[in-house]
Amino acid sequence: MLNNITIGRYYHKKSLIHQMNPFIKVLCTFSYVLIVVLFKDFVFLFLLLLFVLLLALMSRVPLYIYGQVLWTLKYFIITIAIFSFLFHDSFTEALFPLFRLILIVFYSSLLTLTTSPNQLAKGLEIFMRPLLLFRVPVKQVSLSFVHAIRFIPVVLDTADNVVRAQKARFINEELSYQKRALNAVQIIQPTFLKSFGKAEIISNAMAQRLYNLNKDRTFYDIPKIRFFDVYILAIHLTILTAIIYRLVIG
Amino acid sequence: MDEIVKIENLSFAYLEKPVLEKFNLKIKRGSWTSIVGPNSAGKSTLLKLLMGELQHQGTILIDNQILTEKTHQEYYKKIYLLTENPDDKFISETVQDEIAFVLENKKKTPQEIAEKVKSIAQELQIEHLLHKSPHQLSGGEKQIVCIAAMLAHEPEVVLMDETLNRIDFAQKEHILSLINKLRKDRNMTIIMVTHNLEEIVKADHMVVLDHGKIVLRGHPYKVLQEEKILNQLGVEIPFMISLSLKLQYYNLLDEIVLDMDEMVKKIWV
Amino acid sequence: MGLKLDNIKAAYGDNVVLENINMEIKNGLINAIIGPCGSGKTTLIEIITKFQKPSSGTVTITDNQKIGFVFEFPDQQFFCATVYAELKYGLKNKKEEKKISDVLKMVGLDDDYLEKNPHHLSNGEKRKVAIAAILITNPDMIIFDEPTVGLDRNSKNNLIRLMRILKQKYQKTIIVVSQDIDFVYDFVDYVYILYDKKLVAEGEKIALLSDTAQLQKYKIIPPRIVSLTQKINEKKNLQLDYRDDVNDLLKDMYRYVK
Repeated sequence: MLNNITIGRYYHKKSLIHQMNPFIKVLCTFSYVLIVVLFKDFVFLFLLLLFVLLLALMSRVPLYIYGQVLWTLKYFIITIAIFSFLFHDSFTEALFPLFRLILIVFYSSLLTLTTSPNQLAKGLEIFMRPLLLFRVPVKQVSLSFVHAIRFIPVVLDTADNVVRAQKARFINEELSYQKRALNAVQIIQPTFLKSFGKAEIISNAMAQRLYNLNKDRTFYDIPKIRFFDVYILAIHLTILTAIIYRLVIG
Repeated sequence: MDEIVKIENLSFAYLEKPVLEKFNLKIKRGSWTSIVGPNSAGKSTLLKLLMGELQHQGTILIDNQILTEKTHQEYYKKIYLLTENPDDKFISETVQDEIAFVLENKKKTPQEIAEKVKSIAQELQIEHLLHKSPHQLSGGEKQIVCIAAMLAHEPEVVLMDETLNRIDFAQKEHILSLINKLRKDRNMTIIMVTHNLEEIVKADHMVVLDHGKIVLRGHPYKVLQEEKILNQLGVEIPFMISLSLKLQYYNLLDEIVLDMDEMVKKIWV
Repeated sequence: MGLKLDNIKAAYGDNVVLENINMEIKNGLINAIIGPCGSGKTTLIEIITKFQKPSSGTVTITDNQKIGFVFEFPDQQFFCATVYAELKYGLKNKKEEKKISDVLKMVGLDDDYLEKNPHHLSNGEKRKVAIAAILITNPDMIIFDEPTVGLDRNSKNNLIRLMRILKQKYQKTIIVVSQDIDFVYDFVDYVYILYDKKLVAEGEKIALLSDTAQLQKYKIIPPRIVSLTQKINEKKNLQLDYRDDVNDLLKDMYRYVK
C-alpha cells in the first residue's frame, strides 16, 4: 500500500556518501541539476545516469529503494511525458524532458535518502546563506523546506491509514462501482484534516522539547569536509564549468 | 515542605461542560504519584492542561515556574510527558537524533551532545539501537528511547500517560524499576496516570479522581483497601489485593499479601 | 468451518515474518491469538483482513462471510467528523439508517453522541463507537486488536458482556488479539499461540493455558489464576482443578478446608 513510499525518507547506512558533509551534498545536487538542465545530448545524459548510478551504489542504499521513489512518482512522470509529447515535434526531442526529470528525481532521492533531515536543514541553511544579504530569513526558510519534505511521509501514512479504516468496514465484500468511487473521494478530506492534526501533535512535541524556530540551536553530527567530499564536488564543478564555458563560447 | 507541583483553582470546560472545576493539587518533590479513576474522570484532561496543550483558567506552577502563553519555553524545561503511543511524537529519523534533539535546542556543543548521548545510551543499554529508526523498534524499545530522550531533557517532573499499556509483562517490570531508579538518583517527581493497578502499588502516593474531583488520596495500600468506593467508581483493584480480601472473607487468610508465594505460604496457617 | 489458512508465509524481502501457518478458525467461537512481541500476530491479522497479501499460501473464507476489524487505536479507525457519519459509512443504502441508533444502544451509548466528534470522546467511549462502526456492517466474523488496553474495569466488563451477546445471540465468530492473558483466560473458548513466526500451539483455553511449562517455552506469562492454583497444589499437596473464575477456585479451596 502507500506506506512503502520512500520520498523524503532517510535510509541509514554507513557509507562514503552518508558521511559526506551536507553542505557539499546540497552543492553537488544543485550543480548536477544545472548540468542536466543545461546540456542536451543523449550520450552525455546517459553518462550522467551512469554517474548517479555509481553514486547510488556507493551509498549502499539498495537500488530498489530508488526504484520505489520513481515508481511512486509514476503519475507525475507520465503527465510530464504526455505534455512533452504534445509540445514537441520529434520523438527524440520529447524524450529529453522525461530523461531529465528521471535524472533529477534519482539524484535528489540520493540526497534525501543519505542525509538525515537534521543535516539537510543545516546543509540548506549554509547553501542559502548568501540570501541573508537580501534579508531572507534563511534558517526559517531552510527548516520549513525540510519540514515540508518530511511531511510527505506523514501525509502518505495518514492517507494509508484512512484507506485501511475504510477497507476495515467492507472486508471480503464486493462493492458497487458507485460506492467505490464515493469511497475514493472520501479519502481526501479526512486525510487532509487528520494530517493537520498530526502536524499539530508533532509541533507540540517539538515545543515541549524546547524547540524554538526563532532561536539558535546546535547541529551536533555534521560531518567534516574530507578529501572525498572535495573530490566529488570537484567532479561536479568541472563538468559544470566545462558546460557553461561551451555554452558561452560555442 | 518542598512542593514542586502546585495546581490552584484550575478550571476547564469542554463544549460548555465543566471537566475540572476549581481543582487543587499539590505534589511533593521526589514523590511518585499515581492518578486513578474511571474512563472520563478528567485524568487525560489534567495531563493535557499540565502540558499546556489546552487553554486553562487558574494557576499551574512547576518548580515555581508559572505556565502561561509567554512562559512556555521556560516551563517546558521543567516537565516531560511520556505517552502511551510514542509513534506520533517521534521527531527524528534515528534514535541518536531523537535523544540529541533537546540537547541541540539547549545549544550544547557537539562534543557535549555526543558524550551525553553516549552515556545515556550506555545507562539504558540501547547502544545497539542508536542508528535505527525509532519507528522500526518494538513497543518496549520505543518506550525506552522515549525515556532516553527524557533523560537528555533533564526535567524536574515526568508525566506518564498510560505509558506502559502496550508493553508486555517482563519489559514492564524492567521499565518500572528503571524509572524508579532514575527518580531516586535524580530526585525527579513522577505523576502517572494508569488503569493498571499493578503499576500503582509501586508508587508512594495515590490520587483517585472522579468527575474532576479528588475522591480519595493517600498511600496506595491504604487507598486500595477502600474496596467499596473503588468498586462503585469502577476502579479495578489489583488482583493480589482483591484475592487477599476474598481469602479473608473465606477465613483463609488474615492480612493483605502482595506476593503470591508468600500468600500461598500463609494460607491455612 | 469458517476461515482457513493454508501454508501461509509472509516476508518482506529476506525478512520472513510468518511461515508455515496452517490454521482453521471455526464458526461461532471466541478465539484468541496470543504470543510475545514480534511473534507475527499483527501480520497474521493483516493477512486475514486482506490488508496484506501473503508471500505464498491461501486464505479461504467459506460462504462469503463478512469480516469486521476493530482497530487497536480507535483514533486510527475514525475518519469522519461526527459519530453519525462514522456509523453511516458502513451502511449500504439509506433505508437502513435507523440501524444507527440500534447499534449505538448495543454498545451502551445513546443518540446524544451522534453529533459529537469521535476524536474528542473519552478513551472508553471511543472504543464503543469503534465497535459500533464495525457492528453496523453486520459482519459474520469480528476481529478485535488489543481490545482491553486502557479500559477501566466497568468498560472491560461491558466489552466482555457485549462479546458474549454477539457470540450467543447473533452467532458471530470472534477473534481477539491480546496480550492481556488474564482477560483471554477469563473469557475466550479457544486459543492459538504464535511464537517466532510460527503457529506453535492451539487448543481449548484451560488445557492450553494451564500448561505452564509450554507457556514458559513460548515466553508467555501464565494467567494469574493458573499460577495460584499451581502454587497451592505444589505447596499444599492438593489436586485443585484449573478454573477460569477466581470465585470457583476459592469455593474449591473452601471445600478442601472443610
